[in-house]
Amino acid sequence: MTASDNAAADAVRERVRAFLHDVLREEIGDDVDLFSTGLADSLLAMRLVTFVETAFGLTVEAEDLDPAHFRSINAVTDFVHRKHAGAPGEAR
Amino acid sequence: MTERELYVKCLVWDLDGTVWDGTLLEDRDVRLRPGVRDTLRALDERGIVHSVASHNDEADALAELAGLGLAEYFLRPRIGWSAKSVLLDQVAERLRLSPGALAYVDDRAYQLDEVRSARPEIRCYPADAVPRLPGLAEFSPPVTEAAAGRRRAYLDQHRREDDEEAFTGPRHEFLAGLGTVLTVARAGDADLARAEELTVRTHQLNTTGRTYSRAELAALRGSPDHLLLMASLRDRYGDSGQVGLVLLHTGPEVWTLRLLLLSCRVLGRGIGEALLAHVLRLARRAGAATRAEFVPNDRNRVMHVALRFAGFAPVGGTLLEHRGEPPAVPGHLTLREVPA
Repeated sequence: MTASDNAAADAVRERVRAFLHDVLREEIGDDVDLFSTGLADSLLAMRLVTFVETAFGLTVEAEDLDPAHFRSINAVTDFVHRKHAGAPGEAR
Repeated sequence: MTERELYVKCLVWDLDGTVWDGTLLEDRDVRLRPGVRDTLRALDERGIVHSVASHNDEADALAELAGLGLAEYFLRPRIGWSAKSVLLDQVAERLRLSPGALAYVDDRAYQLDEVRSARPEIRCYPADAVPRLPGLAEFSPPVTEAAAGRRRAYLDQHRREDDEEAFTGPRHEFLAGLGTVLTVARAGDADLARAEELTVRTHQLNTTGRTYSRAELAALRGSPDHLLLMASLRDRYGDSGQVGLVLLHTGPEVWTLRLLLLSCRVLGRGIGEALLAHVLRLARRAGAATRAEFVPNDRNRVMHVALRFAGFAPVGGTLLEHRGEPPAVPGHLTLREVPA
């Protein structure tokens, strides 16, 4: 990652943090697993998917709906980075 | 655009010239138009709810509706100065309905034209049609016992939503305080009318969108290799009644979820997760793997998300298969299984 990549990732991470804080009304660590800790349900997952699409101008395809991409603040940040880089959403 | 649904679920009313004669801002002394009260009541009894999309001063208009004794009929009214199509979108969103489930009545042809052009899936009627609306096919759904209580269930839901909005603590604490009890039972003969209604009414929270007649459901209920389950929900805000349906094909080695559907009112209360967790536990007890069918439509993406996040992964075509350990039933609710 270049320095500008890092800055972009930080900006994405900050927006994801703010979104989740708004919805869950509590502070969440960047690596906390939203789903295994019971913080999130499918409504939240759906809102997160829709948020990622509108906030970062990308389309989450059916094959991108892997929970691994949405599991934590850092996972979403990485996913957005890969989508913006034009790579398929699947982790390689 | 979304599809127009077979039956109207909510009739949205203009106010000036439609619910009452005259213009509230100018006349002050307005009179209820003929047929309005009868149509409100007739549709309400069938489980079709009402709302408002009006260009007016909100406080004045709500006061007038209250004065006429009609305020109780109108759910989540939208009164302001945006385009009617925008107000209608807001009504749909607040009632968690698809725009294609709405109908709109207005005395102004240009307002109806604006709505038709922006939202062709919304059925539009002139104000003169109000007295005959209850006679139209799209306002005549098969009526079940659940219909008469539908407005009450919406009102309970709105109190819950407003309290959640006002709640300042973490979301999971709000959910934990609801005292949610989800009861799952095999569908009985008396449940089949409601089961059929759910398959016809439910499009958003529906994994396959298949509809089943009462006769088909009766056959599936009696079939040795199928399981037809109904889910009922209550919490401290009220009894939501039968809100979910599960149809499983129970093969010796593989159980396949043919249909999972939930009333859109229960979105966000962890009910889908709980039912999926329950089904996965039942299959595991029977020593079977679990598959699920998902047939996408223009509105049911949330169910795809629910399946994927519960651990189902695609195996080709419309089939997904569960991998790994079954998820836990969400901690904020109690799942009661009624023995067969």
